[in-house]
Amino acid sequence: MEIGKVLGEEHQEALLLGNEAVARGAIEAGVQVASAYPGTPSSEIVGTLGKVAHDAHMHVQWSVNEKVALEVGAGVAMAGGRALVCMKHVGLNVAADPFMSLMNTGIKGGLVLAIGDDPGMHSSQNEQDTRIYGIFAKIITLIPSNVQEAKDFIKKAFDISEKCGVPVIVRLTTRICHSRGKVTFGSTKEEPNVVEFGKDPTQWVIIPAYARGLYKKLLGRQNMFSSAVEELQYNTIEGDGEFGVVCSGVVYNYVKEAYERAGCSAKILKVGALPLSENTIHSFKDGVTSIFVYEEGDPVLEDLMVRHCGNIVKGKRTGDVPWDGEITVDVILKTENTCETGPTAPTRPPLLCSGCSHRAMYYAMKRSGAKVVSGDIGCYTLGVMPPLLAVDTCLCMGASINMASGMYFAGEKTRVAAAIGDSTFIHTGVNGLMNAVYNDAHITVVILDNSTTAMTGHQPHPLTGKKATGEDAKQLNLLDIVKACGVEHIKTINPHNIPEAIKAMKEANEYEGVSVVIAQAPCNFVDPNPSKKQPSIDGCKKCLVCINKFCCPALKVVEGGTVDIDYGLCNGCGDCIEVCPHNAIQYKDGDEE
Amino acid sequence: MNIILCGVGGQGVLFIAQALTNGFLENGEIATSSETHGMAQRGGSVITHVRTGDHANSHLVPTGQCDAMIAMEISEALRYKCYLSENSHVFINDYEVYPLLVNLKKQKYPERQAMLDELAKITKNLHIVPATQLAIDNFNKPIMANVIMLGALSTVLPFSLETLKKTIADISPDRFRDSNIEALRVGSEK
Repeated sequence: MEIGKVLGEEHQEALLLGNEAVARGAIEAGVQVASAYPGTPSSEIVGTLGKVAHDAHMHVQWSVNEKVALEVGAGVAMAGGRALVCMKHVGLNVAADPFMSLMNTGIKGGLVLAIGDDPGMHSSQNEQDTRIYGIFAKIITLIPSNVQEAKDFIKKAFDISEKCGVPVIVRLTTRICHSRGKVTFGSTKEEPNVVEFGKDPTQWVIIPAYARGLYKKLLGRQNMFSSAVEELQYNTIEGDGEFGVVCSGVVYNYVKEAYERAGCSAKILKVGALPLSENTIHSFKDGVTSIFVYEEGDPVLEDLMVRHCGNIVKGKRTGDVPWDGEITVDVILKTENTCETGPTAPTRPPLLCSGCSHRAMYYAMKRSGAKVVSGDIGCYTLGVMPPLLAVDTCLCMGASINMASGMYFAGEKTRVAAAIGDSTFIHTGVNGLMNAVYNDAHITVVILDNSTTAMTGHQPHPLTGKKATGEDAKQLNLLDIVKACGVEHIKTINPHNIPEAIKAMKEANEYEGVSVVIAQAPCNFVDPNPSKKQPSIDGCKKCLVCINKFCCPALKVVEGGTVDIDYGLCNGCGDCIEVCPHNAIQYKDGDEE
Repeated sequence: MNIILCGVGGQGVLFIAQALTNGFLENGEIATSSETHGMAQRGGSVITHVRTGDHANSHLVPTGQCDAMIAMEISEALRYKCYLSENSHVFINDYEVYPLLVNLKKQKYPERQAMLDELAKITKNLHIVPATQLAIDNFNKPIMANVIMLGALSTVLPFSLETLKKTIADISPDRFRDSNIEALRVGSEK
């Protein structure tokens, strides 16, 4: 079976990641514009569509942030077209402003938000349940439970979005996005939507006078939404008896397996779409004397069941199911992991790669006396790990500069530095820089520019000169942008030149105002060491400064206590040459950097 | 069938998982895999679950239900021992990667024999394969250990090595295709 293929005719099959299945669903639905900001676990949706944009007759873009991505989609749908907007769960927080206004304006074409939740926080700063956003906005939410449904539900989401005139959320989780399964293709919409904006300010311009009427209209259509959901037949009841189980998403599969293993039977309500209709709830409730609700996220279905069925419902609120993490077969069966005696595997956290320019810059920042570093989201967050311990805060995308500013405004005496990546800077950091200059913060902003959006899979952004489709893009200039924000003290350096980096940091820290240091060196994935120069160690004094202060993964302590280089991992960056206080590390053959 | 593939980010676990899952599909079975993406790639612990049959869509192998495991690194097999039972076949790459805290002397890396003894308490079907060494000896590329391990696993799979050679060939870049097929053969003879 072909892996990762999303173009093809009806009835063809392929082995697809859940995200690829979503991409295929968008192609079948005749989506005209797909926009996203990278965010695990959703990144591969637009990543995949970008590769086939031309053949799929789709405009595919990485937008600078999720709010922009959704507003782009809103423009498409207001003009009658079909738009898919993708992001991870916290991305919807960034896009919440247009999202909550869209519930009021509604749309003419189809607008679907594919949101990747992350129960268990495999790659996120928090857990949050996107189904609540669907309820908050009083719109429709679809919840696929496997990879095939991910494709089918996305396609259907566009039909129902157009029928009901509102955006539709498709709630995905990590186990759908990053699982692979067989997908059978469906037919592709023959004619794309006609895109032509129709003048109607009473719908599209939400001044209060118009907005009040629109909101009443939305409230009045809630029954229509649950009828439309009922017609989808995505909420199914199987089995019978007195013991009821309610679940949604991948948890449905875990429930089936767990109950089979335990030899228990139940009447199972699989929720694939919200809002649930009264009919569905009553059909399920009929004859049931106790209900267990299993769901990942908040007790959304549980609270709904309690409202209709009273206190026969067990779940998170009764302490029977954990609030956090994945609700797996083992959690449902309460299978304890016994046997903690004997040797255990050491902790293995993810780290900055060998040769990473962020390691060099953080090392330089520490050497220059940095005491408080307000960090941000990206690979460079990993600077928090020992031995660097170079990142002191990380809250959400673009927060670093603002939090550093806040500390200054409140009277923090230590010079605070903010460390932010290039993609994060374009996302929302630039607003923070403007704010810092305007409100006169005295902080050092370090922009870690490695020419990519690395952590999520090396996607391009406006400073890289490439688009989501691989085509060339107008390349924005970081230095120009920083100057345009009114910054007067700016220094651009190569972080692998550690003495230069230390000097730049010291000068920046002394400036009375906002200073910016642009640390510019491409990510190893973007530009592996082309010269393949490799350092070697001779005359190691066993001081272990390189391990204890720097700890590149390619440095290892060998028999006898000296340090050696693992050439399977070494990237040849040469940072260790500067770090060694005894000049025991040099490039082979005396090559200079 | 429930299979776990685990190792350190960067060892190519995802690559062999794809070939394996596709092998089951070519064999006419329902199969899915569930992967670790993102953060774990940077030298963190990675695990992929491959499941076939009725519960393939219940992506995560329940504890104690693993039929076969490939561990690209010894301590990773230990980390995921909860999935094993006396019936599991465990193929372990005889290779150690010291994580950060061990290098900083803040944690101890367990003794090799102690780890293997601990696993032997759970199952007699331990197959220690010097895959990284074989990869260096045969191809001068330690990264090919993953395909060698897949070859070793083939001895307990319900489909032929030929099917696996096809699915590996399908996803191999041109310049690695022949050596990947050869690596499968090398592993299958261990």
